[in-house]
Amino acid sequence: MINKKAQEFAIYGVVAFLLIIFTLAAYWYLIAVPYGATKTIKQSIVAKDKLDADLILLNYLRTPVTLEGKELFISDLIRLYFIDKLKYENQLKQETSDIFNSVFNNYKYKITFGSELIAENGFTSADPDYMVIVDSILPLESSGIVEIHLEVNLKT
Amino acid sequence: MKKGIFLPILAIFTIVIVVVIGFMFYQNTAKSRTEVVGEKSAQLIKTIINYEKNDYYVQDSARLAYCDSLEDLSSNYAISGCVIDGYPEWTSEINCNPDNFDIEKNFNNYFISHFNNYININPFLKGMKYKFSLENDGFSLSSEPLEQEENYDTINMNYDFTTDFKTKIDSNLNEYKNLIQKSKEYSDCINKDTVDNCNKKIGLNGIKIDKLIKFEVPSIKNPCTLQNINIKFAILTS
Repeated sequence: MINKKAQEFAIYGVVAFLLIIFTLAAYWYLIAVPYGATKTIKQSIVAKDKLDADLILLNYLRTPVTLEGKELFISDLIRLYFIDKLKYENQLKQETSDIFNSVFNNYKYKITFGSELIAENGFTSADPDYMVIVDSILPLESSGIVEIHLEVNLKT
Repeated sequence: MKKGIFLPILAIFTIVIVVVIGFMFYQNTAKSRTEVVGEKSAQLIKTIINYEKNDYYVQDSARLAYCDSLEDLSSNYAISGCVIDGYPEWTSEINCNPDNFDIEKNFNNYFISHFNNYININPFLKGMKYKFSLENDGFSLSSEPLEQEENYDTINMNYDFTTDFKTKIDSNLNEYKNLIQKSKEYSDCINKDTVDNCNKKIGLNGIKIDKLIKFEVPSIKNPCTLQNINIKFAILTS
């Protein structure tokens, strides 16, 4: 009689034990993992850097420069460069390097006008997550345009 | 070991082990996600920056169109039909009198033509309507609202682009008006004196070829190219 009771108790115990195991497994699979808090959230700072680069490029174009005693803008100097490259190349490259070196002192950058390289500081391409690429167009004489292309590698 | 203890101990240990294994599983398989924090704000700021870029493009194009128009005017300052040998003829007679040349209307026409070319290159600004007016020391330009739409992944934006600005430019149409006055003095002089003497007296460098005295006066500096603009005209002598 006692043995029979003990047997029943053991059977119920095993069933209860299996139920606990099953409940725990179901909890982890169905509730804890799918709806649980995420392990890490990688916040994107790239958006901010892209905005900065866009603004930096615009501000570069409207930076005042003195040319032949007249105060003009970098955008004017770029146009003059396309009229007389020999005369304005050095000044344009120097002004451009000065501006971007002071802004991107920790980052590598490259600026091109169309396919012409104007300034860079040891730039190499990196993982797209670390690259910021922005463009702007500038009107030239006789209804032309030049595309100004700035690439910045945010990996220091 | 006491009878009946083994099974409960085994059960407790098993439960503990299952909990530990479950927790480790949870740790390893918990999803990692990337969130762009403040994406909508960033897109709004991007739109504002685009707006500024286009505003600068308009201002730049307007200055260029102004310079182009000064250049056009320098070789086309003539009443229709008053061009000799490629030079605008300036006389005191009514039909070729430069005073009768509507300089502002002609300048505006040149400006509109050049400016439209520049803004039509930019797809964002194509078809923009605007008002241009010359000022004593430059010009002003204001546009009508141009409806814009920018669509991003998380937000769509509709807004009106407008621009309204004044630009000061050293070189202006007064240079032409001063030159007309000098040409009149030269015409009076040439009726009484030689070309060389008139050149010295008036301060112009006319070159006489047959009955025509040709002038190319570098009195204006193109503010965009920093090159001198030669204003061309000719005086017909009797």
